[in-house]
Amino acid sequence: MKIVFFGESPADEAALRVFTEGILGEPPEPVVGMNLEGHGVTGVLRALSGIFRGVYYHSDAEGLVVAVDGDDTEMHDPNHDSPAGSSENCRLCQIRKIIVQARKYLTVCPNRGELRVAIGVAVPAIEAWYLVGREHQVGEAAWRVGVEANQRPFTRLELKELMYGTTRPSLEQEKECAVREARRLIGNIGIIETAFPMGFGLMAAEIRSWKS
Amino acid sequence: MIEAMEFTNFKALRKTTLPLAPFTLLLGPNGSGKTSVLQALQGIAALAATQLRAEQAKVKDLQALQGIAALATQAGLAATQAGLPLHAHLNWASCRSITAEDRTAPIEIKLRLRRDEQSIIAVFHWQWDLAPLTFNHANGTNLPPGDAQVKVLLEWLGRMQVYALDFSAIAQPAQVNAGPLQRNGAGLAAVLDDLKDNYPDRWELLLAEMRRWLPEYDHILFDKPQAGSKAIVLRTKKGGHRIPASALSQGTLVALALLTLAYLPNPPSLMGLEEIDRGLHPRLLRHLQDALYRLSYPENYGELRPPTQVIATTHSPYLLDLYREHPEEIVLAQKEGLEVQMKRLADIEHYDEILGDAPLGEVWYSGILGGVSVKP
Repeated sequence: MKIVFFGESPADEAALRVFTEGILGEPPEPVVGMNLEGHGVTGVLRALSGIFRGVYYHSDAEGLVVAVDGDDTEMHDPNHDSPAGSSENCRLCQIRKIIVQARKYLTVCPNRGELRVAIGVAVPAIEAWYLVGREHQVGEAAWRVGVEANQRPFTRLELKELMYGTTRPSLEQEKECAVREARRLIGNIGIIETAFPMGFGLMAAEIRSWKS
Repeated sequence: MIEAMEFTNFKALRKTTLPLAPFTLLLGPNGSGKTSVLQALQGIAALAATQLRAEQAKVKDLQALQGIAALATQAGLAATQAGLPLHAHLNWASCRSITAEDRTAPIEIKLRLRRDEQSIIAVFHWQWDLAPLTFNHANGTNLPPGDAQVKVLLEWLGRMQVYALDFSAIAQPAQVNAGPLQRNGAGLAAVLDDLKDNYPDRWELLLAEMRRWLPEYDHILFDKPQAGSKAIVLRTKKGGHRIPASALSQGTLVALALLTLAYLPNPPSLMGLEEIDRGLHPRLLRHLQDALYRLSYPENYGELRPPTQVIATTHSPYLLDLYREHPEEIVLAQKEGLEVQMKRLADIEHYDEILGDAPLGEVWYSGILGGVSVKP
């Protein structure tokens, strides 16, 4: 299956590719000409509508997987899925809205199937996903409790320190760690879906639905 | 103006066509041939200036004049005395594409020129020695050497100038009447001094614009470090302190040089500007855009002089954002293996639909439009 990945950095995109392989049970096929690279969460959000349309018009990709850090934004909640429940402060809702808008104005191209989109949001950062099974306190439940008590279980920098052994990892180091941890996790992908049911679980369910 | 350049076997540009507009912003990864385009223009400018001088001297055999390069040097000096740019000469032998399948294949550069509603092709050809530029009508008929139209075109091509501004050269004192601004920005003090003395209206406009670009300063003054030379001094708005060029920031010096180029009374016919945003604060880029448009579209700014075609290179997504409404002015260089393709944004299929309401700079950075480095 041909899938394009778009995240905040090449390291995130490399990990998303591995996660997708684990979810689909086979490696996604490369898509010619899609040499994408995001530039932080703001860059991803700002470019996303153009990315979606560009992938639609300029490639034969069947799916687009997008993932960003949640940072301190509101975590996605099943209540947001109701027609009037979408939250402006929830990154998953924001991205869904961007995609819905972008899709609305697509010109139908002959021989071009639908471009499906899976969205991941990691709280507070993607390193939390990589640490599942290694650090018991990572996960959406712990994050939610921490936010409500105004005592976050970890900061972004602490996650980096835990993941890379430094708060200033090189891009190569990030990429190597991200791929290594993603490979470890796809052996038991359910563990990360359980820890991050909204941010990772919904993305995984969407990707899984593409198989049929 | 030049509507397009077709390169064959010139450095990384093995078989590449570059479409051009009155103003063109060229973006692309390192090594995609942006600088090569400007080098080619500079080399052709030098050759055209040489050829024009030879024609004026009624010399028929260019090679007979102890090699065209020697003549070109003379032409360069003569050009300086006449207020034309001094051209550095290109070592064409070193510009042959290293990756070409046939390492002896000639370099060819065709310039599609538009003049008085006519399309004329100027052809540059190099295999082992320099040959004069030849000119053809679009239908293939040749314009003979000595033709009045050829002279006009040679004069236009000879007045092209490429700038790669260097703050340390800009800051240097200059001999009064040193001639036009040099490729690296040397001679700025003399150019500004000439503007002040001989073009007072332009000088006042430049000062007013300088105060918008660099609001902490209110005047450009001059020191005389030695008899016959001038050095730039900027006066602070607050306190009236005199800051010599040697103490100004790199960005301030580059901004001053760019601003000066925009207010020259007789600017080059075409300006190539290398890394146009280098050293400039992103908030200056809007002013920079105005300055560049002043050159390319002088009538919009109340200027009566002919337009200067501008080709600028950049890597700045902030600068790119300013050209969202003019995709015909943006060219993306894209490396595909050993080949380089250059494509206008306006020619990208579904460009408007892809961009939608997304910021152009971010979308370009993402790579969906091309013109970015390939991941390892």
